[in-house]
Amino acid sequence: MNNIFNIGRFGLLLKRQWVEFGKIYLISLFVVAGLLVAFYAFNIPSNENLPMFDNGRLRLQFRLPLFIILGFLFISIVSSGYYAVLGQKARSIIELMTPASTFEKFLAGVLFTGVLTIFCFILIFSVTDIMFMNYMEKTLTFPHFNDPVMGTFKSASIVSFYTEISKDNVFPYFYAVPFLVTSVFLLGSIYFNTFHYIKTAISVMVFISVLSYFTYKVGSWIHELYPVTGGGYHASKNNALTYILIGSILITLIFWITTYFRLKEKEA
Amino acid sequence: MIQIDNLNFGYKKDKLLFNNMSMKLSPGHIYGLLGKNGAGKSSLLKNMAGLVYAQSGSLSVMGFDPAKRQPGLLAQICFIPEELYLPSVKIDSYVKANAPFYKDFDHAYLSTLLAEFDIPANNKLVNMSYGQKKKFVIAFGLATQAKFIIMDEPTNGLDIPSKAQFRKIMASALTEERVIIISTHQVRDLDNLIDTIIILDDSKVALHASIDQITDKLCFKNIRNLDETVIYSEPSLSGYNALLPNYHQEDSRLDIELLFNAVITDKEKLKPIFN
Amino acid sequence: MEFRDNKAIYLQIAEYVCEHILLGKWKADEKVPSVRELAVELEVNPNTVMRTYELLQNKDILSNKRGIGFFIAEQAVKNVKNYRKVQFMDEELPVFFRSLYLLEIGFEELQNRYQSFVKETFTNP
Repeated sequence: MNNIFNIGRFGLLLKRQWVEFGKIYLISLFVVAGLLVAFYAFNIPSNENLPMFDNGRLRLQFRLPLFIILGFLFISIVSSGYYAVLGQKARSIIELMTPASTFEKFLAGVLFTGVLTIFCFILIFSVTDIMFMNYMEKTLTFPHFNDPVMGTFKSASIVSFYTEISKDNVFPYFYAVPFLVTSVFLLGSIYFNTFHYIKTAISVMVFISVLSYFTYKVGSWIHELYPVTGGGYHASKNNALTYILIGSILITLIFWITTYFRLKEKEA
Repeated sequence: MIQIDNLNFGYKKDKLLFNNMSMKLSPGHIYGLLGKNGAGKSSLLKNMAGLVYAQSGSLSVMGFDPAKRQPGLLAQICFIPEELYLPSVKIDSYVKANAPFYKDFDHAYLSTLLAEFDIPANNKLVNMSYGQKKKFVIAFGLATQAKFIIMDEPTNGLDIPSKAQFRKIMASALTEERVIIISTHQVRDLDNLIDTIIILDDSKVALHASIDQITDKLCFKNIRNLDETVIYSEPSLSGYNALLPNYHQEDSRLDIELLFNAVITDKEKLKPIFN
Repeated sequence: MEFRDNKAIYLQIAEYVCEHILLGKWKADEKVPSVRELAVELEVNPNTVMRTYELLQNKDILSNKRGIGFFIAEQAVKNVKNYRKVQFMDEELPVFFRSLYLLEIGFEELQNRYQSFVKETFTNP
């Protein structure tokens, strides 16, 4: 019997975890869907009040903040609940005694939080978005223009959120960020025994403030030592974005590895 | 089957709960683990199951190191904790989700046990009382056909009829390949079920002997007057309940409470008898 | 079954088995309950019942047919009586004598009592 990874046993573990977490999962997903529909319904422009156009497209400014905030809340809340049961001794015994390897239990955690949660959110967001796009296509009337060169065209078109956002070259550099969010909250769920969410959030905030402070201090210290003359060196925009991508992937991996070791060391 | 050598364990590094503890458990026995509050009964059981990690020493359970938490061993251990918290699902969905991990899981046996314990199969686990949950966990654990059964205060929370059912079930659960270890304060509940007694005291194993060995060497008697042969005694209605060396090869009935008190108060007097 | 306090459990179980034999509930050449069955019934450790059965086997009250189980031996009733007699003489009689002596009960009084007891208990229709 393979004591580290066995695909059949891993399947059983996923099924078992779904029985326990599935209900909460589906309820959260339902709430998210409800919130999305409510936001879209509230923000749909009417014919009398068509918002400004942007590059020939209908401007729906609420989508990006909605995607980021709701997405963050959903994936972080779900992730911070995953290993929370291990904080209660009485409950952790049954979890730890489940005949699957630590690696499998860890992988199930990553799969449920890092993969399934993000996937579900994107799916639900897309479906809602596309549904409303179709609805708006049908109900809104856009003025038509006659251009001698271009022919007749509509004043505005509607594109889905993902089409809109993926046109932006910056977007792909943030692909790892959702994984980073789930990994830090997953680690928080096993690191703390109670109030996982709030403690993780505070830790992250404290960590970021300390880090920024030090970066600032070190920066100004270097600046004093080696005063920049002339134009100085400017990192290109793309360079900085690459650092963000690589950095977020690395930190995500570090958080996942730490989570694995915390799970291994967890006592009941 | 279970071998512990020089185990050092403590929740704080400077305060050891077990100091160089060694012990061997063999299949075919029901061990009764006794000790005062805080003597480390639960901790010892958790060490055996790999739920906590010792500072040093070696632990071997059926050839595995429990601290590695390998599925091969986990599937052979049935651990009944004192406090339980079960997910809010129905019994049959819990069974469906958890039973497949145990390749010899006996569904028919589970149904028999649940019927004996009077637990309806479509109950939701969270809505059950503490005693019912405990009975469910015991029934599920035994149905896994695990070879190593660890029970921490299993009779806590059981009502009177359930205690009798529990004894019957445990009597039938003991097979030649199984090791059963039960920690308890309620010795009266398990009196005739235990065949070997382990008493923890002062971060050591103060006594580890089978009931036959104990009654071979010691005699439990009600006597009228104390004399110098008495090792330990407690006043009773008609004189004293006394513990004496078994000079006349008498077959007395072991009084676990009396023995326990004797061991705790007067370890030194008993040592030469058992060594 | 209620166990008494002062006697080893395996001996009390032996008495229980002997009682069944003397009362004719279990007859010669019949199979007795398996170790496990009796352990479950009496709520005791199977090893204890095993010890009882081994003891009774030594006294030729039970016989062990390998692979099948324990049976009541042919001469069981006789052997039970012997076994019980020894036990009675060794354990119960001294207590009885002690009371006779302390309470100054004469043998004549005892004999009368004994005879009427036998008449009342065992000769009724």
